[in-house]
This record gives sequence, structure tokens and C-alpha cells, in this order.
Amino acid sequence: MKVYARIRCKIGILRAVIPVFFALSPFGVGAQVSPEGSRVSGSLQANANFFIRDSLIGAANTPQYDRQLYGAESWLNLQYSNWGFDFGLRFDLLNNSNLLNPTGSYTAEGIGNWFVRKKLDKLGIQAGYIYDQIGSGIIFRAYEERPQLLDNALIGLKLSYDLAPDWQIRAFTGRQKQQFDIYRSVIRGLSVDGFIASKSQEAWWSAAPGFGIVSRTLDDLSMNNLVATLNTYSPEYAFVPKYNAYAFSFFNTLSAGGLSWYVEGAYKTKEAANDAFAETVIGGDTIIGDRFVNKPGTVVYSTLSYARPNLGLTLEVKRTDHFTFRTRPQEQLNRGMLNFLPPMTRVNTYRLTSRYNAATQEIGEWAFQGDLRFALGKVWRFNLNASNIVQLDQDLLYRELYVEMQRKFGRKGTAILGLQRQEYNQEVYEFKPGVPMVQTLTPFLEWQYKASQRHSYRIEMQYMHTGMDEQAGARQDYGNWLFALAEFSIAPKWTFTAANMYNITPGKNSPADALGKKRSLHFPRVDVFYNVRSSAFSLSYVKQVEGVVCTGGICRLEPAFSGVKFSVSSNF
Amino acid sequence: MRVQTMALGLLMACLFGCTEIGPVITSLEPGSPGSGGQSAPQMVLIEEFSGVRCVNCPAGSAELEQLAKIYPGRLVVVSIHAGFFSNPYAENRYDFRTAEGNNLINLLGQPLGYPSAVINRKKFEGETDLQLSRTQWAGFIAQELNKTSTVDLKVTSTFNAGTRELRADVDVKRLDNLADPGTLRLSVFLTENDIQDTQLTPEGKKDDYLHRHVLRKALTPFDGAPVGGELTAVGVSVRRSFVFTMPQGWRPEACMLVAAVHRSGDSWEVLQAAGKSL
Repeated sequence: MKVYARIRCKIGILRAVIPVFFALSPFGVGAQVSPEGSRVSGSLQANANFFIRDSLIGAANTPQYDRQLYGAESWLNLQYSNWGFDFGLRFDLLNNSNLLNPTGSYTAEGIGNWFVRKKLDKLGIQAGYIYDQIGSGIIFRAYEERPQLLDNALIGLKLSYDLAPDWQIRAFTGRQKQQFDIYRSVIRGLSVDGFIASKSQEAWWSAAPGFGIVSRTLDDLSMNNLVATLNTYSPEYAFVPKYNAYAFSFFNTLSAGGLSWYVEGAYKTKEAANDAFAETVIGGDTIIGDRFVNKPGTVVYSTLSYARPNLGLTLEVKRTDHFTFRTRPQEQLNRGMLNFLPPMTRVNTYRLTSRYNAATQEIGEWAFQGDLRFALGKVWRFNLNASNIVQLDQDLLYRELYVEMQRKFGRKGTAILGLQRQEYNQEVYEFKPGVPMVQTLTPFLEWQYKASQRHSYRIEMQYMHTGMDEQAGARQDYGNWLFALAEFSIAPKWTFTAANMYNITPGKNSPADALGKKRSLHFPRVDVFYNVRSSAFSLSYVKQVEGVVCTGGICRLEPAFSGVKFSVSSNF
Repeated sequence: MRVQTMALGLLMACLFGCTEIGPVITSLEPGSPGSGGQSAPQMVLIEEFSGVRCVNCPAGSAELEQLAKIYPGRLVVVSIHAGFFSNPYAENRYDFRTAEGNNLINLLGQPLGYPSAVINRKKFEGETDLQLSRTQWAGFIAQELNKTSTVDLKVTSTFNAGTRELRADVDVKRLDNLADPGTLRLSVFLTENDIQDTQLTPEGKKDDYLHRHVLRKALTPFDGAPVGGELTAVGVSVRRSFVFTMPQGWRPEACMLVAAVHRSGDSWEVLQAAGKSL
């Protein structure tokens, strides 16, 4: 406890000293680069949300809708370089924020990130908050995703050393941050990354091999809690947990001509991990839900891509088996993650094509994806994508087929036409038992027209057709949707957007009126965007249906939103 | 390069370390831990947040039943239907939501996921919230059961079947020195057990699901009634009495009075709890 208090005290001192340091610096934020070579840069991102209760769409029963009515998030990032040092500092502010817990409210403020970095010949030193990853992140990735208030930075020390011009070794040790607190488990890791290239001009190839090891030592408090829990398990489920868990990864990128092949294999030693779908027999009843299991984990991930002018092909495969790696096994959902399992589906951007997302399954999945892009002349462009994800027992989790065609009409017009077909295992992804596989067919159309140098228009039309839930006698989930968007831009500063998402044929889960009749609801959205130099402002009125929102491979269920959003982002 | 290879090997050895000495796991049989010889054994209040639309809540309820068997007579469970998953289905005969439940979830914090429970309203070391996920309950319950009680609670009740009037008497006795006794409050809840109604389960909606320990009513304000001002010294007792007319449909034989002495203000930690069937 004393050690913990001391660390907090030291952080407190740094919190006080670093802003003073910046304030006393002769170079103001606007100065940016001084004649002596010092440099200040920074960025600001701020959101303000005004909540308007709408119980019909489910935007209710949270502190923000019931009483707080307002929430805000802000991140101010500053970096200063001088005398061969880099200094970084970030002020985080969260007021009544629902990013951490979509149904809760979080208020806190303070220094969310600071670091000092120095390169001494071949030795690199960084202390403070560390964002880094090994390979594709399968065994370790410290990163930030603000839409979900994910900030998995490691607070500690990182050293790097250039073994040779193209070979570097990195080692780090520290603890993972938890908003403005720190988890207790100790994380340490090491990686070696290299680069080898042929010297022949005729048969050029290169390889970027590497390997990494990450280890987590569980703290005593977490272990005591785990042991007390395991003590309540019947002997067939109980096991002796390990304090130390190790994860290893070997990876390589082989490139030759337009071909690039990345492969990574990872193994994690046995450790206590939560299985959210474990079957436990208690008193003759089978209970499905959280139980600690003691299993090793594996991931094999590979991506093969081929690129040449007007042609791009990517094939990906990933097999995951019990590869949950967290700062302590008690953490759930998107908290305490030490690693990142790459998503294996297309990153869709249209409103309806992105409604159903396949969250990465740590416990087990087999995933394949293929993506083909090609152009015919300067007029036509095509994108074909297919992905298929199954559980290790071959039960389907997600399947998507996607076709997109783009045609240019001179210099002014561009049309995009496409079709998406999805099968989405809502029972697994959203823990909704007994629901059928959601099947969708979504055609979409986009038309962009540049009327003049300054004025341009854009229109989107999308329709989502869902399959029937025979048992419920209604369309699956929320049923069929229609989405339309119109956008007008006055370059370079203004963009105006109006959109509506209409539940044209309500489904099983659509809201019903007092008589039980399903209602066709509108979810309108109006945005105004204003850009000036390196700053962007937006003001939006939003009604948004509940859904699974994914950032990278991390997804979570987000309740409906109703209200006004204002945001500012700026770089300097 | 040779030196570098050696350094790399040394670093790897540091990472792996030696074989560790692991903890000892002792599977607990039902009823195995005793009360530690205390005349007023430490009880643990578990406020479980639940909802009829929460698919994982039956598993949480089953876990609490299992823990209650392991620690017989030491756990007091209140199942509070509040928050995102508690809106009743059209098929539900009852709406388990209560004004007190809504106030309690606001007081104790919204769970990140369901089921979630607050154990003795304590913010445990290393935790950021009072709300705890299911995988943490057993550990913190075991920790709380090891405490020495500083307050004794006795609940007695009478029920008039004709008038349906319930009278509850709660005696609070200070057993030890306490910091800030003035912050102590008494909360008294009425729960009903084994209410048959629809619940979402991993097998789908189950109409004959038995809801356990459902919070029906708070006989005190949701955040408790002050008692600490009168507990001026060790050995001093305070009595609070409550009279409540039970609505038709509530089964007195399935109801339980739950009392808890807790702090107020910055901390709402429970010092002692008691449960008494009517």
C-alpha cells in the first residue's frame, strides 16, 4: 500500500512539474519550431453530448438521460522535443461520460499520458506511458481507442537497442493503466525485429522476421481473489492457477515483387482465463456462463497479398484457440486486455452495411477473408470481399459477401453501386439466446457530383432486407431498414449532411406501442461540419438505434442514442 | 555480436525465471467454513443487480445459491431488478423494478455488465467500482467473511395474516470501537423468494423461472436511516421499529426481512447484515 501511495505521489509530482515545464518553455504552442531546433506540437479532441430522453427507442434509464443531460470528453495532447529528448503529456477530461460504460456515467480528469524519450547512440530509452505492439499485436498491444475509452498503455520503462542496422531488440516492463489508476499485475516483454533483403537486382526479395515474448505476473490481490473463487469450484473444475503466464510469437513478412506474405504463430502457456460460455454442472443443473478454465492458447494468423497497378488481392486466415490474455483473469469485456486479435472481416463504412459486426472471439474461431480490388481503365473500379468465420466446432459465426462497383462519369460524377450479404450469429455475438442467424441482404448506392470547384453533392441510398424469424413470426432482429443521406459541401470549409434511418418493416426486437403493435421508427441525423486550417468542428443532432459498435476487433453493445453532439478536433 | 547474443539470452532467462510455487486450492464442501467462534459472526450483504432480460443472470443467481450452501447462514442476498436489462417483457406478470432499486443503482453505480453484485458495498483494493462481475464474487465474499464483526444486528418480526400488517424490530448493538460512528445508518429491505415469472435464459425465455430474493420494498429510506448518533459507546444498543402493510399477492411465507448497518457519505460500506424469514 505504501509503495502504491509512493507511486501515486510521484505521478502527482510529475503532474505538477510537466505543465510548469511547458509553461516556462520559451516556445509557445503557436511557435512550434524554434531556431534552436526545439519543437512543440499537439492535438485536441473534444466532444460534448447533450442527451434528450427518448424511451421509445431505448434512449432512457441511464444517468445521462434521467438526470445528467450532459456529458463531455476531451483529450489535449502536447509533445515537446529538445536537447535530443522527446517529452509528451496528455490531459484527459471525462464528464458524465458513457464511453467507459455505455449505461453508466464516468467523471474524472487528470494526466492520461506522459513520457520522456531519449536516444543514446544505439540505445533508446522511454519512461512513462508506453504504446507499442509486438508483431500484429497478438501477444502484446498497448493502444488507445477513444470511441470505447480503451487505453491500454503500459506505465513503465522501455529500452531498445540497435543490434545491427536492420535489427533491433526491445524490452519493456511495467503495469497496465486503468483510466487514471494502474492495474497491479506486472507485464514484461521482449521482442526482436529484423529486416533482410536480397542484394540481387534481378530477384529482389525481403524478409522482416521477428519474435516476441510477453509475460504477466499476477499480483497477490488478484491471485487471492482467484484462489478464493477456485476454492468454491467442485474438484472436477478446480485447478492450481499460475502466477506467471507467458505468450510467445514468431512472425515474418516475406516480400517479393508485388507479393507479400505475413505469417504469425503465437502460443500462450496455461493460465486461468474466463470462459463466458463454459458449461458447469451444479447440483444436477447445467449452468452456462463464466467459469475460469486452465488452458493454453494458440493463434495462427497469416495474410497473403498481391499488388500491382490496378490490382490488389488479399487473403487472410486466422485460427484462435483460448487466446485471452489479460492483465488479470477477472477482467471482462474490453477491460484489461494485453493483446489484440486482428479482425477478419471487411471494415464497412456505410451505415447499414456496418450494422452487424463480427467481434473477435478469444475463446475460439476459424476465420478466412479474401479481398479483391481491380480497375478496368480509368472508369471502372471493383471490390469483391468474402469472409467466413466459424467456431472451432465449425458452427457458423459470421459470413459476408460484398460486391462494390465504382464508375466515374467524367471529372464531375462518381457512382458507387454494391450489394452485401451477411449471416450473423446474434446468439453468440450479442448473448441473445434462441434467436436465429440474422441474414441480411443490403444493396446500396452512392452518387457523388462535383458541381464546381467549391460545391459538391453526395447522396447515399441503402436498404437492408432481413430474413424471417419463423418462431417469432416477424423479421429478424429489428427487421428491414431504409437509409438515405444527402450531403452538400462548400469546399474547403463547410459540409452539411442530413440522413434518416427508417425501420421500414419492424422486426422482432423493434419497439412496440401500448397494444403490442411494432412501430416503424425514424432515426434521423443532421450534421454540420466546419473546417478551418487544422481544426474541425461538427454539430450533430442524432437519433441512433442500439447496436454492436466495433473499433478494430473490439466490439460492445451500445444502447440507443438521442441528443445533440458537438465535437472539435485540432492539430497544431 | 557474440556479446549481444549473450545479452539476449540473459534477457530471455530473466523473462522466464524459475519454476514458481503456486497457491494451494482447497475445494470447499457445503457448510465447511464455520463462524470462527464469534457470537455475532460477520455476515455478508450481496446486492445483486439483475433483470428479466439479462441472459446471464440465472447463472449469477445459481452461483449465489451455491455460495449460500458453502457458507450457510452467512450470506444475505438482495436481488435488485434495475437498469438496462430490467424492463419487463410483455409476458411478465410482475414488474420487479422498484423506486428503491432505481435509487440504489444510482447510489452504488451502474454495472458494466450483468449480472453484477455489490458485496458489503465495499470498494475493494484494486477495484475501481463497487459493482463486481460474477467471477469476483466468491473471492471477495471469502475475504469479507474473515472479518471480525463490530456491530451485531437482530431482526424480529410479527405478521398479522388478517390485516397483512408486518411489524419489524431491528436491534443494532455496537460491539467494538468504530471510527466515525455518526455516519452509521440502518437499511431494512423486504425481499420475496421464488417468484415464478418469465426470465431470459441461455435456452430462451423461461416462463416458470423462479426469481430469488427479489427486492420488493425498502422499509427505510433507500440510503438508510441514521442510527450512528445513538451508538455512543461499545455495548450500546438501538432499536428501530417498522410497520408495513404488505400488498396482496406478496407471499409472507416467502418473504424475508433484510437489515444492514452501513456507513454513509463517502463510503457506504456495510458493517453487518442480517436476514430473517417472516
